Amino acid sequence: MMAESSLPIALIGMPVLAAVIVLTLGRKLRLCREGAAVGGALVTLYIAVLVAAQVLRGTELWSWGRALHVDGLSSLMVVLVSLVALIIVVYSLRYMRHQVEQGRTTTQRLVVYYGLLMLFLAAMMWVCLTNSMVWMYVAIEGTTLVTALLVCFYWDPRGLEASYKYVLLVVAGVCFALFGTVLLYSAAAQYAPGRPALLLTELGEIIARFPDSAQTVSLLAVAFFVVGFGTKAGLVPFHAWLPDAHAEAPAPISALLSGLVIKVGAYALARTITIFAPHYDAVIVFVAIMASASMLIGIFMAWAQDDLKRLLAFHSVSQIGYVIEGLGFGTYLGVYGGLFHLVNHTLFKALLFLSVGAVMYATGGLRRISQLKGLGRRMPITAACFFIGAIAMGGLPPLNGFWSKLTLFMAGGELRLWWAVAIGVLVSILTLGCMVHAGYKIFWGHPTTEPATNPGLKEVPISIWLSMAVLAILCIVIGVYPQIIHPLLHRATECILAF
Amino acid sequence: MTALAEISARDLLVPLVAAPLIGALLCVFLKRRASDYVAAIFAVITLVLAAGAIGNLFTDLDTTHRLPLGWLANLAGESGPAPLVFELSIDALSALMLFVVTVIGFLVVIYSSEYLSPRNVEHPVTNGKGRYYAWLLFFVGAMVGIALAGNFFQLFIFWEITTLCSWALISYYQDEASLRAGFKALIMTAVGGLFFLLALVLMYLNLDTDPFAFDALGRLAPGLRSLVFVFLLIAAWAKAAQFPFFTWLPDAMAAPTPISCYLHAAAMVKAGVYLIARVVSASYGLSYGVGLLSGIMALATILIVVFLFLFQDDLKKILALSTISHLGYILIACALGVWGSATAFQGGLLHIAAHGCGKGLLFLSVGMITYFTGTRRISELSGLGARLPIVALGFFVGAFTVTGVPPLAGFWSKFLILTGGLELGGFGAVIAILLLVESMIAFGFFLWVGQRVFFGAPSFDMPQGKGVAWPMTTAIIILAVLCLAVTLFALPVIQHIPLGM
Repeated sequence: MMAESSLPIALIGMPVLAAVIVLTLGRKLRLCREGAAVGGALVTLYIAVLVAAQVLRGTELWSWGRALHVDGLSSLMVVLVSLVALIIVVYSLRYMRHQVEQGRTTTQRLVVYYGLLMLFLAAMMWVCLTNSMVWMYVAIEGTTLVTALLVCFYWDPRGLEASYKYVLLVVAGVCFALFGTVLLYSAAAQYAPGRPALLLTELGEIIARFPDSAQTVSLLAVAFFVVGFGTKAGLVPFHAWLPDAHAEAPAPISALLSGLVIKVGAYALARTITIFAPHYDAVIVFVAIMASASMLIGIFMAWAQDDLKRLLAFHSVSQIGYVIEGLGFGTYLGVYGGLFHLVNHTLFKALLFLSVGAVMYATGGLRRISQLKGLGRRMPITAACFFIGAIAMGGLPPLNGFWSKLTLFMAGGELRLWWAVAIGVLVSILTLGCMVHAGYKIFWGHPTTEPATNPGLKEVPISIWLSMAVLAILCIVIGVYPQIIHPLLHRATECILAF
Repeated sequence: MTALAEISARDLLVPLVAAPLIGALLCVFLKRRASDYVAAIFAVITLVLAAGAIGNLFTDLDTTHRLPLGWLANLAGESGPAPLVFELSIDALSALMLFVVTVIGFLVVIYSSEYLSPRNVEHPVTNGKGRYYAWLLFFVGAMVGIALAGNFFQLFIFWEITTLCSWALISYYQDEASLRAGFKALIMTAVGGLFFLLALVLMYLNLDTDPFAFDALGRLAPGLRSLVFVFLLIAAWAKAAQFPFFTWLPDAMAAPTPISCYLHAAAMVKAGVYLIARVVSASYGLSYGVGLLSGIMALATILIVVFLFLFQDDLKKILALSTISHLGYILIACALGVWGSATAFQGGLLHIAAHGCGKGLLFLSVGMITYFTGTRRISELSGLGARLPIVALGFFVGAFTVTGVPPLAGFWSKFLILTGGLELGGFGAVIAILLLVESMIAFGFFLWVGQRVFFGAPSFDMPQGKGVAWPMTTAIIILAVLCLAVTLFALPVIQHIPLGM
């Protein structure tokens, strides 16, 4: 069932409104700066939940003459994005104030910070809601620009360099997706005269009409999409921007990058390549090879890192491989597993980045494994959160990462791609090892050196640990009772496969 | 009373798993004495529930009480229903395992209350007890879960939880050696776990109905059945510290001794052999070849380990190595079971209980030695018998149990295994003779160790009468009695465990 609704407009409008309030009034009033950001994210989350509830009841929403369209996948994404955005905003309150006290930034700049965060949320909503491939491209570029400004928020040389690299690589990369779109349009226009050829909802139908002669064009378009959106997702070999940007950004923004920004790429791929995968076996193998390479190279690079944020960034490269692989399989189990892992990765990777942020908060900015030891006694909550994230990512039950990986292994086995399953299993154990190793080096052991021996070291304030705890609890809840998000994932998978 | 009588074993399954987990959650927030009491209370509750469930089952040991709990909707095939994933059940084999896990778990909790104290000479402990009990009870819950799991998938979930707990518990002292050992144990057992996972994937992909049920192997095509069995076997090797994975177990002796007793003698390593026992008990048509693989690897493990432990000076490492070889015994018994010897298979099952009690007792005794003396090197110890008579008693009873001196439990189990092997003849007889040789070497060695440690001139000063720490002494005495009595309980149970043919 389809219904016109103003909720999708409100989803984009609310964060924009919040951004306007922050940017105009935030300079003077803390309430208009931090309050408006929290409020904006909260209301967005509320609307997202309303939308998802409607979709779960079987109603697809659209507005602005089908320019915005909410189906299962969109509703899954908007709930996830607004939830994590809210958590990150709450986390930022104390964290960024602390940065001001440390002299890394000023109160005036916080206006820009929260304003950009809200704009980012709006852009994310736009990506997830738009029904046009061209507008999706525009919105994705929007998220890139906003986050680039957030990456170089401290305005220091390293941050600027990372941000420059980020913009350059991602914009150039996503351009390929634009080429792909153009190619597809040129091919599609002749088979769908008089119809909007680039609406996502129409795409599957049009491609089904392609004769064999158009196969080359559409395969080329797929390749362009994988390169373009793969760059955004941080897939090897287009991942070079990712570690730098993650390392130099403020900790909440690192969580944002790994938790949400790279998921945009996965989302866009879910919208596009899954349409082609059932038609061409080559696509499945091509994507599986790309994804497996990403997993392997990401995890090997992660093992070599001493800087925690870079370590986590390389894990993101590795984990996004699972997501893309699942989407590339194009079967029910594959897409389900890919989306499940997308959700799980957002939760545990945001949790991990926020935990590392908490460590930096408490130790005055230390983030090298070799500099840290025995922090767990003074910071038990942070330690617990980090380990929960680490084990979830390592894929051990009873945490959420296990269920999505399991689904992906089963999907790979179903397609008889045993080599891909083997790589997935191998990377899984390497991930577990790498994360647990880092975790016990930082948090366990007898505190013999600074900063663990510093009597001033204490647990982070409640607003920081509470936002981490929410994510940790979500990881546990989904892990213990995976059926809890089955309805939403099922809808999302169905609506992808329906094309 | 009538209401109580109407409770069936089925109703007790969820509380049984939940009780230790609740206790674990509470212990996170408690300290010192308070955590002692809460942990003991929840251990007792678990024990009572287990007694209730087993007692209830005793009226009819041939039934399986099943309690389905949940499905995974996304795994539903095109046609078939979603596979049952979450399920608890209890039958004779579960009861045997449940008995070992809860009884020794209870004794270890009691024992720990004294062992982890500032009075411990080897490792004085002043704080962190809440964390210790939380992980220990979490582990008890996971072990109970393994015993009560109703299908392979559920078993796997609890299996991985025990891996996690074992990592945290081995690392408990947080010095460099224990952190490293915990990490090693985690990675090695997790590698095994991934093979288990692959076995599950294979079962799921090749069976339309009930892919994870215990009898699933019998329904697979023969080649695939062997492959899945080998994957499960690799998982079991990792968990039960068999060749080529066995190196993590001696390292894991960096754990507190009650943990070594529980995880590395009585419970966790037994999960590995329990899995294989499950498979052998429930599957039809396992090939001769997989039995051969299982038997030869176990035999290789036993023979390698015998040579390793002759050169050990560390008491706990000796026990660890001996544990490895005894797990090999049980796997050999399972292999003989695959070849059709019900006698040997039952002997192996009895050995799960017998070795759990005997080796547990040995560990607790050695723990008490280190508690008073601060060392566990044989070369530094002598003449402890006069000062610590209970410990000497515990050590010798434990040693006689695991090496198989009648009338202790280990004798009956080894007797059954050897009889089964000789009955089969051929390679089975060769195995039986090799096992006999190993038993004699181990017996001689343990006698020598006992004589060296407990007899002769005292190596350290201790005032008369100080050598009593009642929680530890109580645990040792109860376990020593069990070494004799466990056969009475276990023999009737194992008669009812079928052997899949």
